[in-house]
Amino acid sequence: MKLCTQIERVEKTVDDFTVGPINLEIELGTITALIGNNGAGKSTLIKMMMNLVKPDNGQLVHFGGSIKTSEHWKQEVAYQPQSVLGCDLLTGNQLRDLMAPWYKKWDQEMFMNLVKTFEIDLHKRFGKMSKGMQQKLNLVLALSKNTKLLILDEPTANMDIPSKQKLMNILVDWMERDERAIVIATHHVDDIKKLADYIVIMNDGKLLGKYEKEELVYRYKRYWFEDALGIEKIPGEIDRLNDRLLISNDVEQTDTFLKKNELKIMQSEVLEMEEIITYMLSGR
Amino acid sequence: MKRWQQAFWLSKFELLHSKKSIFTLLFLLVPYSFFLTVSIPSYLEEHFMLYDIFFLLIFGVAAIWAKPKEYQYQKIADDMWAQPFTVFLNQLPIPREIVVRSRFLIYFIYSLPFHLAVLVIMYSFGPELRQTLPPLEFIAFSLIWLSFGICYGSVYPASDSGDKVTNVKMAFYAFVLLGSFTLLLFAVPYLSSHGLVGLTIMVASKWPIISSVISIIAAGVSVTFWMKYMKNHMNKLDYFQ
Amino acid sequence: MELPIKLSRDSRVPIYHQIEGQIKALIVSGKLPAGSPLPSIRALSKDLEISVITTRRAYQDLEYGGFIKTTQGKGTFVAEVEVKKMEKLAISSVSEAIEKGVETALRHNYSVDEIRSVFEEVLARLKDNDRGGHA
Repeated sequence: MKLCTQIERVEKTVDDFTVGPINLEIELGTITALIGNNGAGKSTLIKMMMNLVKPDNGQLVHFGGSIKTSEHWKQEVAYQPQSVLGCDLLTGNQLRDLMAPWYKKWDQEMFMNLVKTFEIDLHKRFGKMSKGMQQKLNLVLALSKNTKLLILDEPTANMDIPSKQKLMNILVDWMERDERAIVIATHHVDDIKKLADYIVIMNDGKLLGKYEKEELVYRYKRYWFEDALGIEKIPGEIDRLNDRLLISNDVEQTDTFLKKNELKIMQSEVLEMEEIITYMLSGR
Repeated sequence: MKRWQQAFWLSKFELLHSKKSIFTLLFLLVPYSFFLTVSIPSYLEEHFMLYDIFFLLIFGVAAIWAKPKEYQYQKIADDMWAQPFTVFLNQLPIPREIVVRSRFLIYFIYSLPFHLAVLVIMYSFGPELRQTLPPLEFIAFSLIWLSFGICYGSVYPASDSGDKVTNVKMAFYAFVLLGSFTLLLFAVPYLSSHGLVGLTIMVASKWPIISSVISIIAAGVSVTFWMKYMKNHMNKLDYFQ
Repeated sequence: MELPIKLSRDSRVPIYHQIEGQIKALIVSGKLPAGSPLPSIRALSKDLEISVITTRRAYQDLEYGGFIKTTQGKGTFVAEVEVKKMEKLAISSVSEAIEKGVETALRHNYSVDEIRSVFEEVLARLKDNDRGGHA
């Protein structure tokens, strides 16, 4: 696997909140979902990846070049911020005119197609557009830059449901065009289920882990028992209901223990993604 | 040269929405210049301070008053002041050098024609000033004030890239700035028996060549310094917005 | 180009193996004739809500087994599979299914004769349904 981004021991302290130290690698050909509660440090990490916020420590490398000393990575990284400041008076057309010349691989055809798909009025001023429309325009601008890495910060937060669906197909198509990667910060479970290959979890400024999606799914399991368990703590246990229902985040250990103690399982199943994420974000 | 061309191209996106502001500025030009022209005879006689204050205001801050509010230096977060469009451009792969130059271009496009017009009107419609300053000396006088406009005014584009400032810090800056202007207004008459403007008239007529050269050099040094400062500053500053 | 694949996350069979098996079945049963295009790894991953890592593994196995072919820039297609291999595979998948049934019966302590009679009953019923035209 070719790497597109390496983040090594990156750290940033603002007032009394520290993000990091963060170690993370992004592979080409994959989509990484960045999840975490509000204030977990996702946006700060993303802004450090764009060199908008400068880390106190550590190294950030895009396509072999250090973010601090090289410039060429800017051609290969597109970013959609949560909100954009300072272009309220510009129309969609003017924003295009302003951005396109700086990206060598700008894809005008894709831009026009996406504008049509999302029904964006390019003659309208950015400041006069609805939140959702602004988000769509930003997204279309980011995609048309035709970069190898796309960083999206909660792209669907203000979007209607049909647009969310469209976006998913567009991102899938976008990935097929070249050897590319997407990093997407999201609260939307559908994004994670349908798009993500890797899930990176952040909590309180720390990176809790990077998991392949299936690996994460198989870490967790729900068990129903015929009889009450009556045992204090079972290895891997993270939740218990009525002493008959058990949830584990270490299936292997739990299974071994249950077998050894001859506890009869009535049924077992994997958890839904929502549940898994809820457990993960609460540190379980 | 290509960089300046690119910077100008970039400036046009903001200037497009500034037509109204530039028009407003021209509109203000009439009363300003009228006041300065009409009151110069009495100023030359008794150098009243209001005239100095007015001059400082025109060459110091008048040019940026008319800017559309979207493009003014403003609070963009709790402790961050910046010119939002500059912050926006900072996210694009535009060389910093070009962004920085475009900020200075925009300021000069606002201020220089305005300042120049004030001076030309004063000279054309004020026979007393023409008597005091022959053409060469008037050019020197103009250069002194244009240079002041550039040296002091460079602070505006240089701060567009943003600063982490609290309200207390902001109040402190305002206090220092006002204080130093006040000091200047009082100290000059006290030390030289001239008003501030009167002093520059005297300097321009006594040493026209030297004062011109110094003014030009000062303007050049100041712009170079502030552009460099701004570039370095952008490389260090955190943009959370 | 969506494939009728249904995954069971609770199964002991790994996901990539399930995909592999179901695509093989689609090919062997003739539902996916040689030359038909398959969805891209990314698109199938989205439809099945799994990572491309898993899908790629299934596709790699299928390609290694000669069931599919990937052409750079064009996509993935069903390969020409030898008739013999198809037959073999059909037999093995049939016997695998029966094996499962027999295992279940044995677990319920059925005798060999009982299993045989259950088998014949099922066979007769399905044949009847078949003649009736509807399942």
